[in-house]
Amino acid sequence: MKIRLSALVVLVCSFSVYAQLGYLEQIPVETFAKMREVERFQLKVAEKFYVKGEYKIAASEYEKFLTLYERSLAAPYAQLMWSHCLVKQRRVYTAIRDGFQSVIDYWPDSHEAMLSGYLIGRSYQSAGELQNAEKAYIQAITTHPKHQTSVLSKWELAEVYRIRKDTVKRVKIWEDLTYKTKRTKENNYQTTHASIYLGQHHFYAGDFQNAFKAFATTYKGKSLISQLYRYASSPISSLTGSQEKSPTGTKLADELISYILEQIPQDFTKDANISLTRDYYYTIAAIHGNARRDNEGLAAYETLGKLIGVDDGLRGKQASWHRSRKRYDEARRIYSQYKNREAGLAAIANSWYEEKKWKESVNIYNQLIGMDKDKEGQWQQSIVGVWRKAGQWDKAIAAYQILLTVEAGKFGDWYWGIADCYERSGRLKEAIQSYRQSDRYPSVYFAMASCHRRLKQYKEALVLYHQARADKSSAPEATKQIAETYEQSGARENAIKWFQQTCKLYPKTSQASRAHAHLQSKYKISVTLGGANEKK
Amino acid sequence: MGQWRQIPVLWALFMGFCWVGLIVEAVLIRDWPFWVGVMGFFGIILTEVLWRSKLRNKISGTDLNSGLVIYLGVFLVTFGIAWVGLWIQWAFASDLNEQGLLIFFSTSSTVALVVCFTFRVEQQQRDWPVWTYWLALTISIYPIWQGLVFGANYLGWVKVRIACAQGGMCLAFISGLLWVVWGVERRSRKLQRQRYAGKQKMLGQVGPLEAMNQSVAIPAIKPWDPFDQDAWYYGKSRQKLKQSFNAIFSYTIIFVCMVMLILSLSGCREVYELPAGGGEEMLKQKIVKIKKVIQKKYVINPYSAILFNPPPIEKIKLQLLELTKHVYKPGHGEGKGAGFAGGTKRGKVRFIRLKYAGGDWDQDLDLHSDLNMLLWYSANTGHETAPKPEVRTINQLKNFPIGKSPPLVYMTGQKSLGSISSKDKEVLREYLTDKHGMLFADNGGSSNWHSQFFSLMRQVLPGVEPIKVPLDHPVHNGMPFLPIVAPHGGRVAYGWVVESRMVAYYHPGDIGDAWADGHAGVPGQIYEACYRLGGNVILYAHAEYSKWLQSRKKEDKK
Repeated sequence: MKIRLSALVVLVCSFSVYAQLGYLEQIPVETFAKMREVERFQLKVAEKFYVKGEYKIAASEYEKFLTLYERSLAAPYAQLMWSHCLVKQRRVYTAIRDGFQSVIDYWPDSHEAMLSGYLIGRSYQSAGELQNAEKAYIQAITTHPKHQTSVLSKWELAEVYRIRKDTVKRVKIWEDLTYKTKRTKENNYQTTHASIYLGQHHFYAGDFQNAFKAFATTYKGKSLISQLYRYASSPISSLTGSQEKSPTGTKLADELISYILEQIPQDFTKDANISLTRDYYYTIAAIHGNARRDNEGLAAYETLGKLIGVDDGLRGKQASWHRSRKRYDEARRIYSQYKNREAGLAAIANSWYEEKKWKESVNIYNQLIGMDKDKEGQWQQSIVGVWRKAGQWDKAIAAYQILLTVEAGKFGDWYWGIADCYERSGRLKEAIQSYRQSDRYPSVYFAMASCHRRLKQYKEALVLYHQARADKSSAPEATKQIAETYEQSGARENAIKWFQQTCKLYPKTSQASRAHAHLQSKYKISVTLGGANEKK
Repeated sequence: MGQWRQIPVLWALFMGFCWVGLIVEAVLIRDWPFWVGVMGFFGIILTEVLWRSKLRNKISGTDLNSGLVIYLGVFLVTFGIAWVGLWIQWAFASDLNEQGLLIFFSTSSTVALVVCFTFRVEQQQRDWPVWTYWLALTISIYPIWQGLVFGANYLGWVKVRIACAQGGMCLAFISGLLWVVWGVERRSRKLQRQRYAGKQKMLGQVGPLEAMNQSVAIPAIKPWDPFDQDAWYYGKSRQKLKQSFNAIFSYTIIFVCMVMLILSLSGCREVYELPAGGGEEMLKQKIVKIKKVIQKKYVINPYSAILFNPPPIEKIKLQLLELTKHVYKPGHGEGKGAGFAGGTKRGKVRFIRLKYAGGDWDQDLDLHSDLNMLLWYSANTGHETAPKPEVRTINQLKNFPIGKSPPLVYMTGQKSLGSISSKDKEVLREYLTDKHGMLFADNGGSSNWHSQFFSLMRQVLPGVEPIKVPLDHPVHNGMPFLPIVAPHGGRVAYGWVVESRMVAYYHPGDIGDAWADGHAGVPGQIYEACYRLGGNVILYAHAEYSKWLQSRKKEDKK
């Protein structure tokens, strides 16, 4: 018993490596159980490199497996994984020809052969060869119609037809996956999404019944309604937006609403039922919104209010409805009825901000500060946001100054904000002073240097960039900026020298790429970045 | 009369056979347009109708032979129409049998010469006005000119073709001008004479020299007729000079406009032809295998009783190395020499760079990037190549007809693609799909160019998504890695595939830099790989184009 248990533990531990791999890369448990220890060892070695992304070495290890254990039960698996390695190295055609096809030819009844049939199609698809991909998928479907690869092939085939804009064939595949395919844990993603796409397709055609049928195969109860709304909202908007299709869109909205109304519980004594009713009425109002029916939407909220009573949540929804239609006064009237006064005032301030009435917005925030001094920091930040948006830099700076006393811990951020306001308003010297007090290193070096450059104080800028170079991650950008500063100051030779330095010291960075291109276009100087091979 | 009737019957029979042959050819082989054969039959019917009409009696009333006039006249007219039609088709680069065209155009040149000579003889014998001969000579210029241009083009004599085309143009201009001067002068004199005969007011008032520049019979009301030198807009003095100037100027304007019109219709239509031949669709390394003959080795025992005198190692001659060349010819299909089955013997592989408004489309052009690539391709494939690379705008791609357009165009840059108009995008789409072309894009220096190019492709080929080009795709054939000079747009090459054919290839790393003089300082291994990649793309595009031409030909024959 003990021996059996330990063997099981070893097997489970060994197999855990394979859990890192996807369905198409895994060896069947039965095969793994029957393998010899030496074979498992070799496979694990190969697997280790595969998981690490060292595909070239992994491929040689799989090849070694095939040489050493040609008659092993895992030979088709090794061949399959060798092909995967080639695909990862983007040698797709070789993988198809010498890998996947070999699995089919030599081990036609193996599990891997079934996978290979599908993988051939996918490889062709990745190489843009849709015709060959289609053939391979059809072959995979007809050869193993009950296997998971058949579902995968159908799914990919739908993608091929999407690229080819063949809607009829796509719909047929969705129908197949939705209604005819037995749902399992493995094919859950494909079948679920097929039913969603099919339903959405019917929604766009204004066919509620068929769409409902498709969604009902996947969802039930409350989630069915939420999914129906989720995928019907765009079709309703787009159909009602077009003059020709507007009646179809309206009909679709009505059918969906009447279905939801049927589901509303009658017993409001239970909290669950109240919550459900609230959600359903919110959905109904949103559907009216999508169908561009203003009054009906508001009526839905009113009906809900009569059924379950009015609270801040419902008021918020009603106010948002008005705000989204730019009826700010009406929205503010509702916000003022909030039981939670603070939330109501914050929403009012936000609505003034949305209306670009800065003073009114700030007044409300000040009112909020007066109500609760503990939250001054939060509301001052909102005030800063208002003045920044308004472009009133002095007022924003004043708000930052208050923040420096209220929330002194974040002084670095506030000084950065003050400096930014100074810089934007053209007061560069003050900006530099404020940047200096911020703790955002090494960004402050770049910001200060930028101000110095605008003031034509190139020497100071260069000093700062040189300081920034001490930071490893900023060094390439700082080096390039030094070159640009020299260029701006008219020191051509130094500019070239530093652009060349950028290329030489950091050849793999985007800064080097830009420096290389700049040297070539402006100075007609060709600098090597060393040349490179494609990353494998 | 009976004798003449018999000759045309024989003539009609002979011509009938020819036309039947042409129709059969047009139906079965489809190298020759059907309408030419039909036209022949129409000519025969027209001749017969005219022969039976009153026209024959009218001609018989003159000293002309009615049979000759009707049969020969109709033949010349139908032949002339056929010539014009075929010329237009050729100019529009239709797929006509070139040998057939050569025969036809040579025949038309000969017919033109014969007609010209016959007119000369007839004019002298029958005392026709001299201008009839000059008119025949002027008309005959066109078929002869066109015949020479076609012949030179067929034989691939580019310089001769250009000389003939330009010389013919000059001759056409001068002959037309002479006719205009002659016509204006003749009409002007006639009008002067008429008026002078009616009113002899000016007689004696102008001298002979003045008369050359001044009217001798001024009318009371100045006319509008430009042929009349007394037209009001010629003024009161030097009317003749002004009239001549007006005639020459107007003629020149009309001639230039006509030439421009013809060029816009056909002449500026460019033709791209592949070099004829055959071969494999891949560039291979020239393999030189060195076979080493190993000398016998002697293991010497220093304690052996036998004394050996082994020669010093440096004196051991290695037996000569054996050279074996891997003989191959890159191209497509079967044919003599390296080239393409869909090519012609005057065809050449050309390297065309696209010019666009924004950025620096001409990057590395001054460093002979394109030329170096073309030379490398020529040296490594043995294909006929153009002596120099070329530059075209996107809009100019529409000048290439379907089946004779460039299989590949190259574009590069590093700043911005600028605003490429929707018309240009349409031209590019037509070029890539209908004309079976391919675009080779090379990011010369920024991630901005990368995103702009991808955005352009989304608009040019909506619905076609870029794929990462596999390393064992034919465009990467024989390459162990993707060579990159500078990774401006990443390290992966992208392709846009339409119907299993790559229509656009995007290289992210400034490959053009490696082709340029000095190779941007990259190591030999990289720039050699860059040339090889360029060669692969050129060969792939041409081979795919050749396949398409072959399949079109097959479909046409079906």
